[in-house]
Amino acid sequence: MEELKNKPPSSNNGHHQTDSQLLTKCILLISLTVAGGILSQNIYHWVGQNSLGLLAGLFAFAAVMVMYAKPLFKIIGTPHFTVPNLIAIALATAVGTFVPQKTDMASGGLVGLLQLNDLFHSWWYVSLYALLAVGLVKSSSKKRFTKENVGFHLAHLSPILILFGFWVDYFMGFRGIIKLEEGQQKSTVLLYKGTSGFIHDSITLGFNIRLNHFEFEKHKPDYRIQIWKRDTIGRAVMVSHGETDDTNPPKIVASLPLEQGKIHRIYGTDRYYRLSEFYPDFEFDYKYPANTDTIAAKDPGILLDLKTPEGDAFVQFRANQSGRNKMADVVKMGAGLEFYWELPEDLAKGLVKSPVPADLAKDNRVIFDGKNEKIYFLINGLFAVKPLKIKQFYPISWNDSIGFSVRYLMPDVAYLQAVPSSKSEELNKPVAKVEVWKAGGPATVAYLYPSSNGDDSGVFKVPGNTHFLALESFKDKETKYYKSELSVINNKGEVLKQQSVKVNEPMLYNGYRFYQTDYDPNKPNYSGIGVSHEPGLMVIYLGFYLMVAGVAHMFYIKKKS
Amino acid sequence: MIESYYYSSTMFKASIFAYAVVVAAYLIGLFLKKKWFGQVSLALFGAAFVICTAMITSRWVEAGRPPFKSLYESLIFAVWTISLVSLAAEWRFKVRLIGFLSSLAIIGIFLFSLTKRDVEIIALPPALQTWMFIPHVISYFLAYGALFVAGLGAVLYLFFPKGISSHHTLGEQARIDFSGLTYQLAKLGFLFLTAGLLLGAWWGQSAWSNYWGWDPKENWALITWLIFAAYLHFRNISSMDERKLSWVVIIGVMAIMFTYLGMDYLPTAGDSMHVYTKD
Ligand code: HEM
Repeated sequence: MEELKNKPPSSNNGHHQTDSQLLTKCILLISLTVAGGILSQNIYHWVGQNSLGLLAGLFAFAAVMVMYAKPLFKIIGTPHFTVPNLIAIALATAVGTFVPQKTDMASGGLVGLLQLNDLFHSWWYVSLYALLAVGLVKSSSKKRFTKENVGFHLAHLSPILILFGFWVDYFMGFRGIIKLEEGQQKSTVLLYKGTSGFIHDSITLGFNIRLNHFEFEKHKPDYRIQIWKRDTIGRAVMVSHGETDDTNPPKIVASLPLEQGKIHRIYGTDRYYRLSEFYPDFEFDYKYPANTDTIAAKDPGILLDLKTPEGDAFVQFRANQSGRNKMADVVKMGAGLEFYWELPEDLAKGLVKSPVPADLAKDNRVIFDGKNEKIYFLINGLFAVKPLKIKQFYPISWNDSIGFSVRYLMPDVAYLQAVPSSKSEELNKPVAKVEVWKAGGPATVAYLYPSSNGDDSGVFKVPGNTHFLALESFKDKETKYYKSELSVINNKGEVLKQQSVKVNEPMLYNGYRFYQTDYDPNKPNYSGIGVSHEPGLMVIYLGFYLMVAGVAHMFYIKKKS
Repeated sequence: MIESYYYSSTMFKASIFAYAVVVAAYLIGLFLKKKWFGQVSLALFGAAFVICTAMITSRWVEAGRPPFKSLYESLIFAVWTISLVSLAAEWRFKVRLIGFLSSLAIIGIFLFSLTKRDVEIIALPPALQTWMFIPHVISYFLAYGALFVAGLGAVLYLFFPKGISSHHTLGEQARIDFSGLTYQLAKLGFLFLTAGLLLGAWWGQSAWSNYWGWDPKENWALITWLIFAAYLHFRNISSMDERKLSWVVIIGVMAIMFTYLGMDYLPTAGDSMHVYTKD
């Protein structure tokens, strides 16, 4: 410490300078270097961005440096130089975070003149690091290599390793992308310019990369009761999915797990709520009295379970409501369905004739006679009557798996009860039943379900308030992983390597690194594979390790004198 | 804020309460000037730290991942590291003022975190699904904690350049030298700052094959590091007085705050992949 602390280097003309004079001098030298960098890079640009221009620029830089090389080399490597040097890099870096870095186009004006649009690769910025590197070497060479100075040398030589590795990667490495669709193979890498995402060039690898398969998975849904709030009473549209044209979207206040029975206060209102039931795969389970003898035929109906080519469904017909008593063959079972409690006259007369009059059998029909508990089949010119039996399967066509069964034949649908239930434990159609009440008041029951189309169905708006309850899952909007299965294939078509690549799990081959970098939600079989080549990486990592070790040694291991 | 507090976890409420008690105890201690009461406030601070540790642990368990993803989670972790460093500093330097200022700042952080509260625990995006970001975050927050407390020391130095007598500190030794305290903590902070910066680059290489992308957040991390490196070298210039050094540390702490919270205000922030997402 003493060799530095008490003896500032003497100046050329022999007498001592104060610390602030020395600092001023160093700031001046650093400014001159920055000016030299700006000037010479502009010369490079004016002469033309070719080897001649490069030569001219470097020559100009050297010419500038020569003018003050002597005082510079005298003072570089001292704390007086290091401090302004470090601060200069800090300030320059800060400028680069305020001026947009548009490395893909030339900028005019002052920004272009000072290379502020690509500041981090500008000559003047890089020259500040060059000064630092020279200072590091010099200060290290001035210090004796002893056991207690190990930390000092490690801490001061490791930045040189790191800067060297950076430099090697900048000139000899690259970063780019191979855009692949499943089954495709390519050997051309589109190269990014610098660290920007702008593609400016391409290179060809000596082998092909094939995308065998690409997949990504979202997280599993995690449905919760959410409390939302908006500033004004209005549409309660949720913006959980980001896109909305609503200028004043509601804000989420809380997202509470599905705990049955737990009472929550809806803060900011006078209401409480509790979840009374959660149905992962909601459906109404219909119940009808088993014995219907005492039920008068006031509003007759029938509930049918259908097996159609497109899957299972159920349908309810109401005899006394025109429009709700029949259904054309929209589900492609092979016949239209009609339900009557008492057959209308034409049918009552026609269906007992043999053969049935042709005008009744124009279309394929299945006719239910509720009162007499009969089913008439008029299908492809054939005629059949069957007794109506509950829960029995009646096939319609040649295919036995298509048809229907009668769940309930109801003299009066008023006795039909729809009981909420869950078809399965799968989260196919989640619905939450909540009760909301004011202290001491009666509870209102509400069914919450996710609003898929952005409207406010499925939410419960707290009356007289801007709060509303919703059932939503955020988690399944987030991606869990992206995975590309890659093969390295040589020109003879032989597979040299095969590996799955994920974010954080790259494939290394031949000094190149292949990593998951891009995907397109609209093109599920596309995957962007990043390719990079960093020959300086190990030197950089070594520098990292030594720097931490060196600093730790300086601070805590070195014996204090 | 009150609404956010209402829906906060019991652990969070317990922590904020515990730290409020700590602030009150230090405040009483400032007037009481009794050595034994200093021990009481230190013990309370320790207890609050234990509660905070429990809060972080339970969130870690509940989330099934380290709770360092969101701004809210990181603020709580900052509370933890500031507490840890303050406790250590108080233990080592016997200076109660540090504990008082830290716990006051912690209350401020808690209140701020309420405005940033996550309504539910967020899943980790693919880039964060690696153990590599754990040492990176821990290093950085230990550094931030140490440097924040160093900054408190620097401010105290500006007020008490001659140090304060043990009468006020309730400690054993005669005088407390705040510049020495600042320097010791700045060294510790710089070591972790260096480790955090380099671990970040290492992780960046693993996740994006890009150890350095001149991203605004990376740049400001570099700026912060350079300021503290400048501080360490400033000390080797003989005539540099401690007031100026204190100011360098304070500027460094301001740079940390900007790196941590200010990225949204930069015109180049849109390009950053490191900005804490706000819901
Ligand atoms: C041109 C660049 C640099 C020069 C000329 C330089 C020079 C010095 C000198 C002369 C000392 C005093 C040594 C002593 O007291 O024994 C020192 C201390 C130190 N330097 Fe550097 N240094 C430079 C850059 C760096 C960098 C980039 C780092 C970061 C790893 C660094 C880390 C340190 C540390 C940690 C100390 C110890 C400070 C202390 O104990 O207070 N230096 N440096």
